[in-house]
Amino acid sequence: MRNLNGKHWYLYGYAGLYLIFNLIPFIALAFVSFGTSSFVLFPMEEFSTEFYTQAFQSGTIHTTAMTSFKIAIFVTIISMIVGFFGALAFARYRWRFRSVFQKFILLPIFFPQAVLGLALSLWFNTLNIDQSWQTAMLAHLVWITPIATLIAAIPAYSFDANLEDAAFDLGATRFQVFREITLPLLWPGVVAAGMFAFLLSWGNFALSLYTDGVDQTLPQYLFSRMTQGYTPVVPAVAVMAAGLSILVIGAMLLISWMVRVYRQRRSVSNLVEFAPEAAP
Amino acid sequence: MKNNHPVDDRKAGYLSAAPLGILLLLLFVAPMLVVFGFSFTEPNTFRILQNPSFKNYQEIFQYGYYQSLLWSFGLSLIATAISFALMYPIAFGMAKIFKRFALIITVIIVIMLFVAEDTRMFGWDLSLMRGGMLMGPLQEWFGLTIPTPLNHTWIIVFGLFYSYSPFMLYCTLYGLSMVPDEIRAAARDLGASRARVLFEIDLPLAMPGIVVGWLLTFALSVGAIASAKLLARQSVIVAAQEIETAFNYSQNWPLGAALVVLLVIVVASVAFYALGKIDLDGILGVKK
Repeated sequence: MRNLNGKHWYLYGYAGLYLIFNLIPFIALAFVSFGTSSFVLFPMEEFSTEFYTQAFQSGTIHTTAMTSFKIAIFVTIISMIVGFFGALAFARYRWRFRSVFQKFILLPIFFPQAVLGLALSLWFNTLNIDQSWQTAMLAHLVWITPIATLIAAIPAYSFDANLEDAAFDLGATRFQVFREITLPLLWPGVVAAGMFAFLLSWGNFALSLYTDGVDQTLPQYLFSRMTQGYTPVVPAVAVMAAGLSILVIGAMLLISWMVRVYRQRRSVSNLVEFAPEAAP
Repeated sequence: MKNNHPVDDRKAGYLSAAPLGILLLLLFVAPMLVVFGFSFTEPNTFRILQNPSFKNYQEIFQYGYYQSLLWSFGLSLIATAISFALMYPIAFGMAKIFKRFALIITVIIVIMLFVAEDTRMFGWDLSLMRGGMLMGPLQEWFGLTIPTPLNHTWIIVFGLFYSYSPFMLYCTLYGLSMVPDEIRAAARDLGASRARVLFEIDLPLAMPGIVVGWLLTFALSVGAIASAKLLARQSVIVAAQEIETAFNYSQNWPLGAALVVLLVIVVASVAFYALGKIDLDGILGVKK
């Protein structure tokens, strides 16, 4: 048999170049955020943390960050609930309109976000609903709940329906089956869906742009300052917002690693309990 | 003894589909119908209930608004094709060759994707502007004066590639991870050339992922606004921006609605065609 996994150093190099390409804008933002003037000129001579201090003291940034955070928290909770049930309908149950449902929920994902926001804004206007962070949250949900459903659906596919049946046979009530079997088995997918929902909402720009009325989200505030009235406060806040995303992703990786280790330990200890001679 | 199947799949299916279904009916289907309705009202009016009129669509073709749609479709198609060509080797490496490195790439790219798109685009702006991070040192240290690529039409394609190539990468990667190594090895053992393995095994078996990748990259690009606004500084007006202008600045909702309808018709027909070709259970339920 031929070796399919040769050295391939050029592929490593090429992928590395792509990563560097992706990092360039972040490096630029980080440099500029430590600048001393609102005039961008490289190579930079002086560095300061002046604009970080300014960002911390700015009331507008506090307000817009709180708005973004509020929206993201609500979007996370609702996406987890809706995504959990959506995933069951998507992957677990055999029902008549399942394939229609599967395709229907993909449509919003493929839909241009800015246009979706404008359409929603027209709709809220027609219904005479004042636009605020709540309507922006609804706009986020249209795009994010389908994605959360897809993420939660992946473990739902490997769901063993016999476990539910067995529990019913042993006399469990419907609620017990739900609490003891269905929910724990799908929980990892639901948690992952929630994390993604938070991050997608926190960083979203196009959906809130036309739907948040008097309130302003952080990405939107940054965009308005990028196009007019630029100061290095903008990259400083961008760097901090990116930092929050990195923290959340770090927590996500840590949790998934801990769950894996815990499961391994538990399966080993079960093994010790039931068949001590087979344990490693 | 209790009934063996107390969960009725059909009933449970409807019930569990209800929350998402209702949410999308109220916040996706209904707004689209309103937009559709508005597109047939008189220009510059704000009431949906009036005699239907085709004036908006006439105006789109008469005054050349359709050009921004064509620009968006064309630039998006080019960006999508470039993304596929450039991302395929990386997707292949991640699926079949890299081990730990694939995880590193994923972590870095995922982290970047969660930073607001306009912020990242602004980072490119800072890099490419005159005296920016890439242009400034070249000028200062090497005396090289390269005109800034900003404000040109083609920088939009660059921005679209930057923003959306990760989606192409992951969809293609997902497709390629469905190609069994045994089949590839067997074909090579039987004397198939690398090109034959590519065209007769890799591409056909990875097709569901590739189709979704093209669709997603194209759809995201068509609706993109940040790269045109921040990098090209409106050297061409793309569709999303034309729509925004109609709604916000000109306060001509019917015209904006008609533009949305045309955009949606194209994106939706591409999406339905592509999604009809693939089996979603096969993609998501795949077990390795």
